Amino acid sequence: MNAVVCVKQVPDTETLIKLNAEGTEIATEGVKWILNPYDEYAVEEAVQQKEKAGDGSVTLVTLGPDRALEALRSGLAVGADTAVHINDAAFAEKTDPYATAVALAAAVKELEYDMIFCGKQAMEDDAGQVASILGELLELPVVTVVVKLEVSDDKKTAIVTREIEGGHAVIEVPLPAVFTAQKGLNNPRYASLPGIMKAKKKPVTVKTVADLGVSAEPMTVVKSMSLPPDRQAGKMIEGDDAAAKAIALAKALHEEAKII
Amino acid sequence: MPGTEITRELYWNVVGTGFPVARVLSYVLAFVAVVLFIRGLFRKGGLLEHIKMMKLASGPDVPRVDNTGERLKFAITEVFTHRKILREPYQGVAHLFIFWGFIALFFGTFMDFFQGDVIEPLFHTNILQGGFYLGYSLITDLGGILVLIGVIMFLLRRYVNMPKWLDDKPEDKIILWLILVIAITGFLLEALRMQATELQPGNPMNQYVWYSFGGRLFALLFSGLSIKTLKSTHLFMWWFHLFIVLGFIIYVAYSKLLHIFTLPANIFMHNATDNPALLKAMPPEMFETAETFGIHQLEEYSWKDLFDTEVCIRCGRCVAVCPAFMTDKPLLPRDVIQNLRDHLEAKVRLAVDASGKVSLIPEEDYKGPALIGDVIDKDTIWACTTCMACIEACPAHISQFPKLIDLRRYLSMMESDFPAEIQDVFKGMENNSNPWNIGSHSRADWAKDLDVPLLSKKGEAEYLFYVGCAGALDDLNKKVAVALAKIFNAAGLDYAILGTEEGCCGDSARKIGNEYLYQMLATTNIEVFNGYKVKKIITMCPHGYNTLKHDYKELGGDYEVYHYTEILADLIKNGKLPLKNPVEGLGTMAYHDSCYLGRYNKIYDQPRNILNAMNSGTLVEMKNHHEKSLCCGAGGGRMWMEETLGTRINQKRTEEAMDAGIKTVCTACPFCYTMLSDGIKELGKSEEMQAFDIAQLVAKAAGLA
Amino acid sequence: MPEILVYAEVQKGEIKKGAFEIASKAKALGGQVSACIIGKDVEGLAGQLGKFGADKIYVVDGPEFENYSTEPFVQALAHVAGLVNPSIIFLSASAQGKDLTPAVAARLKVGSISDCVDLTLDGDKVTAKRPMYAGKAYAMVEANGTPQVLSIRPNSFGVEEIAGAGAVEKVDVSLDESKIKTVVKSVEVAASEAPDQTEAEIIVSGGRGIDGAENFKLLEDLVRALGPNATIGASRAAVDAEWIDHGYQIGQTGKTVSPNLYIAAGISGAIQHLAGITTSKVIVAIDKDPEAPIFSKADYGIVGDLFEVLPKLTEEVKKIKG
Repeated sequence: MNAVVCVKQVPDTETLIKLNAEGTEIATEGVKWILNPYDEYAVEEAVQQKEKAGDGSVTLVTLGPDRALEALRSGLAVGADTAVHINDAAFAEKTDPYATAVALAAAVKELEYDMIFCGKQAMEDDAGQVASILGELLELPVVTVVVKLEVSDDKKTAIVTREIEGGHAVIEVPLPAVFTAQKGLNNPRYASLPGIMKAKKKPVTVKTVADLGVSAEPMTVVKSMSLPPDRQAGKMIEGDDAAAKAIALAKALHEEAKII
Repeated sequence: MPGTEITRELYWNVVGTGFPVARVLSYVLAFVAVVLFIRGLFRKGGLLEHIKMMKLASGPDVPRVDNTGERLKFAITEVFTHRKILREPYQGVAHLFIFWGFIALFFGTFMDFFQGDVIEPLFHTNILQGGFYLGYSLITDLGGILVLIGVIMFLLRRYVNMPKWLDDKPEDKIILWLILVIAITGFLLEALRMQATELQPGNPMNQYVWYSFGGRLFALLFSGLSIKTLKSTHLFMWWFHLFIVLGFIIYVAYSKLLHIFTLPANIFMHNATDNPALLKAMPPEMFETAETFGIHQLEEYSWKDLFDTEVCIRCGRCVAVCPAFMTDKPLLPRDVIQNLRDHLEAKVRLAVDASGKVSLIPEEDYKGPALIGDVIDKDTIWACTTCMACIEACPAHISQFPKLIDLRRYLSMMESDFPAEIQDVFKGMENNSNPWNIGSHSRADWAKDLDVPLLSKKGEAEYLFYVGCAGALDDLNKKVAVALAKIFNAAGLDYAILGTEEGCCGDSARKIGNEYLYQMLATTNIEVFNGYKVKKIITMCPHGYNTLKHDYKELGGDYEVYHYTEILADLIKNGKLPLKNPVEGLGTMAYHDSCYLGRYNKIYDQPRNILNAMNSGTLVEMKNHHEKSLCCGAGGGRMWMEETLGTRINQKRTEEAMDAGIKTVCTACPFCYTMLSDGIKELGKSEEMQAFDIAQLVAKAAGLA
Repeated sequence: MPEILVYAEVQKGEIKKGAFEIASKAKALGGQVSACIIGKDVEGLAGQLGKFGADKIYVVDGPEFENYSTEPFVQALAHVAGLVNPSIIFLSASAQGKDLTPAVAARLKVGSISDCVDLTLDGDKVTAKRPMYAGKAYAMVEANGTPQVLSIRPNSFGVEEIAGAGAVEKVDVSLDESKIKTVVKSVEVAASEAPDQTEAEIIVSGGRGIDGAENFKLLEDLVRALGPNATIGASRAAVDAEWIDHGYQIGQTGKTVSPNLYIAAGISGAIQHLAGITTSKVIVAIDKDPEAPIFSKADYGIVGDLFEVLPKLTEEVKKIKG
């Protein structure tokens, strides 16, 4: 069972987001970069499926600058076997989900896979698009927000459960297919120390735009960025006891805020 | 020579005038006993065979036989004063009596031999006479009585009042009965002799019989018996006593009595570093070269770890003081040691060949019980709070809990097998250098409304105030950090904080077994400290204190580290921090000793001195305090783990405070502060009780809050 | 005047409110608005869209569209897009919309902009404001190429009813079966009528202070009193304690929401949680700890025991609602 996992390096989810002087993107100084948390579920699922099948390999593919290698190492440390690092200055300026998917698709085409995993979304642009575009480009079925995945004994199909509004849908899909991992799919393992050490020696192939024969032209462009206005503390409802406070709150919501 | 009549006939009634058959026979028997004793040491499953296995143990250790003089002095003091044994008065006194009693008896027996078989044959004189004889007589009788009292005390404890943490094996009672019989037959022997000789009218020794008061009293049993009966009974008793004593000597090699030799040896080899709860060093370069980390096979322990298991006599003191045991968790430090010992024996049985050679069994060939899981349960491994009560309590200087940390290291680093909730803690430490995974940018937010100097702005300061994760980020403990900053400012202390440059000290990571993560955190801090040429550090948290003070040395960070209670006690003593305002509403209060301040670093007085200096409330002690203080339950990374087994340790400690009628529990550790605050809430005692950190109270007393 | 195609999602036999929101917005932007509705037995619903600004409504109706499945819906919507030839396509960023938007855009060989919270129009060119970093920053984004495909976060815009009736046109779509590889085996939806958190107007959320699964009943009572557009939410602490299913989690690694009213009960307000609710219009915080960070973001705060406050609040709400 061969799997490809598309991963992305994102700022740590706790990072204080600041903008650069031009207000066009975030200031990266002092940012701690991590493997996108949803991609951790994706990597874990790929590794578990490989372990369950007893053969095959897991290849990570990422698009990012030099530092993105760290994200690949994180994935290699928890059981992925090899990695492809698409690293090209052409992407350094601006990229978008579409251009990213085009590059990933070109890289994935050269690999062997029965399944392609992505995180549900990258916890930075929060777009959640790459997997769908990738599926379109590779002409593969895509199942998003997967919380459970079982591969049939003949390894030709998978039965997956995906989150839908207010519940779940169970879908049968022939392999190969693209899946996006949602929290709950599995419990990503913590990298063991031997895993971390071995990851340093696992092969990482670097590819450029030229190697892949694609263009880095984005379909959408971020013109500017802004920070949300700081929510100010409103008013504290005072009262002699809890009941009095509750009454005052109901009144305020009804008469002042006019929401109930 | 005056007083030549004050003596007694050696071998009276046993050796006649002809060839001394009994004398020779007793030596032959003694020789046989010694041979059997030695055979016992070398037997299958004996100490010497186990030592062969210990020699194969590969774990690193610290020097154990350096500074011989110091060590010898220490061991002799420990052994002869019973310093640690006496911490439990009942057992301590009982053992002390038996110990000194046997020394007296040994002295008496030796003198018998020395006079009878050395002095007499060579010099034809008698040194056992006159005042010396009377003293000798008195001492041996006193010794016998002490042994008798001691052994009866122990028997009462075994049969009448057995504590639940004490385990009971046949040898425990066999030994006590043997000692009892030796003491009693000894006295009977003396009594029979005295009744037949000294107590007979006209005997010149008549007036000195009370120097052998034990024998004199036992002789009451025999008053009125004929000399003949006395003599025949005496002869029988003499042989009977001899056989029992020789049997006892042989039994030493086959039972926990061997501790007579191994325990002093272990005390001699005690951990002489200044780090009382020493973990195995893992030099950073090891992470690049080693293939396995931590311990999952017995032979990976150090030889000293294995020797520890040989020394343990199952006294159970470590069990009695263990917070995990007290709250019904499956951790009994004694059983950890004993299970390791049984495992050692089982492995030796598999590893020994016909010629008695012990060789390592390759891991892949070993089919026996697994060290982790079978020998020591995972729940046991994770139950430890590293409070060090076991080490502190152990009279044998055995290092108990670090052996569990070795196993945690294997589980954490090799298997990523730890309580599920720990994964987020590790990630938080990795990504934001704190266990809560709160954005590292907010590490100085607690100080933003205060005038707290940043080292990066100030450039240099006498003291670095290392706030620690709890003080910097935990809502409850931020109040303590604020109180300390105000106090430092008011006292005009030359200090600064690192702000966002500060990182997690790594103590929890280390104690959970993730040495790799700990070293990442530690080396980052050390680089920052050294970058600012930091020399003196004040920590708010005892865990940071212990880690920065002791553990960072292994990684090249050598600082003068103070806990804030040391600094405050000094400031108050030197009049730099006047405590003018008595704090109202404290009532009866007690200081809860933090394990990492108290047992780890012997800081017991400063917190109490500070509280006394406030002239507020009434300071009392809880049932367990100072070196016997009960852990709050948060050490060893337990702060971050669910407490699903047994009852909660923090509640147990809160109950102890309740039992002492305490209104205010004072802490000097953020973990303790959190755990006891929670304990009060969990038990629904918020109306009657409160918890405060000492720094908060000092700030109030100094009019700063 | 741009031609805007609005995808109207149907759930449980009803057109979702989000569809009316995006139709209203499309109209407000001054577009020529077409709507597309896909499903089984949905023709009868189509007319409603006219009242919210749709000038023309395309209906794709058939048994093959009974359950949502990406590929058939992509084909249908792409087919309608081919008919309308719009310069802009709006979808609601619901669970379904999040799946469908990038897929249909990719089929149309364009990119898309996800989860927009504000839109401006300059000629035919849309500039969208969308949150990134879980709401910790906003980006102004433009799409190259035509059509510009955008998904709009529910509750970002109000609905505006107008006097109008769109012309309904039924469209036959012959699906390319060779491309339909997935089979929906079963669909399990909770019986609850409560809206999804991302679309609810009012969310009552519980955190660590709720102290047990059984106490979520207090929140349910309040939700019932608040009416059909209210629902339950939870903080990560409550989900991690397994008091409630992950589907209810608000915040980073959960749902990002923008309700009119967000009531946080027993939630201290970790930054991950605050990030997920920052676009809420009114935030109410109820917590015992006066220093809980949630109060710094709340419009109304009550320091108190939620076990006392919530039942009383429920009672008062019932009185107001009459």
